[in-house]
Amino acid sequence: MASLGIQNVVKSYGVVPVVRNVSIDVADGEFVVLVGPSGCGKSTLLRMIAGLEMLNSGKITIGSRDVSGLPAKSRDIAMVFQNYALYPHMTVAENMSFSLRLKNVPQEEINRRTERASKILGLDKLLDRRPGQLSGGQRQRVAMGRAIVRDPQVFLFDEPLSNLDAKLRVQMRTEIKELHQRLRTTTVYVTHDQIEAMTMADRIVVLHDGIVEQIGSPLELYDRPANQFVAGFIGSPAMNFIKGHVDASGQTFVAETGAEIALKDTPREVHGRTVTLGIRPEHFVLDAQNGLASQVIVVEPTGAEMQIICQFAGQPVTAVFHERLNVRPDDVIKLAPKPEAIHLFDAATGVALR
Amino acid sequence: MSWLGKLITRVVLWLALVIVMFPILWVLLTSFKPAELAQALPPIWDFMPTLQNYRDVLSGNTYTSQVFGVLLNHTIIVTLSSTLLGLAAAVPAAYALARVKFAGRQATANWILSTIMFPPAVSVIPVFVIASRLGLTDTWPVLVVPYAAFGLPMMIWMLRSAIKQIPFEIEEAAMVDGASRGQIIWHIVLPLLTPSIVSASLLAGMLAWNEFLFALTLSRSAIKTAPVGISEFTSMYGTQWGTLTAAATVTVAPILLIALLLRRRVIEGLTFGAVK
Repeated sequence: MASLGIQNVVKSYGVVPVVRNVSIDVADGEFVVLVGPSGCGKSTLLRMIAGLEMLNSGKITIGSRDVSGLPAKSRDIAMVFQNYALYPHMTVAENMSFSLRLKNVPQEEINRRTERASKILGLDKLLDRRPGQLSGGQRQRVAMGRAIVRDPQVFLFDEPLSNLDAKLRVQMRTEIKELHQRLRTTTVYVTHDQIEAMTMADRIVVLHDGIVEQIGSPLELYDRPANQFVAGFIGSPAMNFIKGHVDASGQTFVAETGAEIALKDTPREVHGRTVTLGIRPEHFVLDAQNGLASQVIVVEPTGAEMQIICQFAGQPVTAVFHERLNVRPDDVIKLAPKPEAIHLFDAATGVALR
Repeated sequence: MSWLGKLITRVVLWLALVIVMFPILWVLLTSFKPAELAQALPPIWDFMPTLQNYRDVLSGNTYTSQVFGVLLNHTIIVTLSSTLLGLAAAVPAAYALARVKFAGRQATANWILSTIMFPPAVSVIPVFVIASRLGLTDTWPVLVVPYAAFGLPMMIWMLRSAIKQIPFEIEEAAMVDGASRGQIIWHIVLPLLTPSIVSASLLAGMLAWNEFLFALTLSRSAIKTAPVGISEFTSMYGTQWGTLTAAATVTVAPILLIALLLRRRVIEGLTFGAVK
């Protein structure tokens, strides 16, 4: 195990920049998730850590070793690929022990480590099978087993759960997290699924267009997003955004339609400024006195909660309630955001104003 | 399809089969006929089958310069060596053309493909001249090298498309697992390529096994192959049909047997990646 350092890494394909000057420090034993929409550079960054892509500039260190120029085989990392990339002609045991056999590890040691990994992952009865005879979840476990037997400095996961069905994905998510708690190997995990990121990560790195938008713990990102992109990306259903301006007193937000929303403790610098107001769906309350009249468009009950999409301050917003409300489309409800949960962003740059 | 359509299809297929198989059947029949009946016209159908022709061919009791079994050995040696040599060149070439990025990769691949259209006969005279100057006539390389070269473009193209079908992530996984390029080719690519290697080898092997023109021009006795040997059953004193057909049958049999045994693998190799 080791820490992982990414310093000012730049990568472009021809003239197309993919990763622009990214720096991330991953502590020894930490579980870091790289998350972002497709094309944000997260997979490329992971592949550069693995040594499958070379950097244009910058530096990657594992422990105290600068590995920037080293090929994948010399980096002592293990990677789990999106489509598992198992060796189809080898049995489960051979798949897991391939790296050890390459290193001429003694047979008893290979057996011991393969056995241990297969016990951890519940693969002990499948060791003689070939990948073609396994289900998706089992293949995923073999891919993880191949990483575990290595006992590498760093684990890399490249969207490992995206080929599994929804139920299995949740189960494997828990298994991977449990595995990490048990082995404490430094892990970098790439996903486009912010729920995976939120549930698994010690820290999340939000990437967008090749730059780091924000690094922080899941709840930090959720509670204090650095900008409008992070605010919109983290959380499901996504944060609602309403354009408008803060009045001169700083007490009220005035939407473009003229609708007014009460604010609390706004910093001086935002008074009178054009801003975007952000409010999470779960931070709406029904307020018969101060709420804005909002016409219900769609009601989506999930059982645990109700998602109500309605016309609020001139635009559709999503509100989530944990109590069962008796509302139907076209009903008018009085909706008000909790003032303490409101986020304000600069209308032009999207930077959070607090 | 109606029953009439099915019937017509069957009839046409059987007809085609008979037309294609007839010469082979004729050869087979003649090889079991006693020498005096071999040339009878109209052909005699009810005869006592005999193995005498085969005994004569294999024991060398024929009017030819060499025992046929020796020539068959030559053919086996030439075929195996040229196929192995071809493979040794084709696998790395195919891998490079499929996986290594270099300028002019596609152009190189296309150029190699275009050489399939090159008729081998054109090169007989130059090869003969080169071989004579180098004193290589009637030595193994003079057949092995050209045969390997003739099979090479086809082998490279078959293997290249097969390698392209192997997901690259598998090789990347091996890189991460600590494998060098050579180890990846040896432990990962080659095993996955087996069906294609079998079918490419079989096709190239058949080219070498049946080749006549080069063998006739460039070999005398030390490396004379079976096809040339068969032609020698026709001499200025006439054609020994019985022993000729027996020799032809002995020559065709092994390759036919191998093709039959490996046919599933061959089809796997030829249709590799056609159905995902």
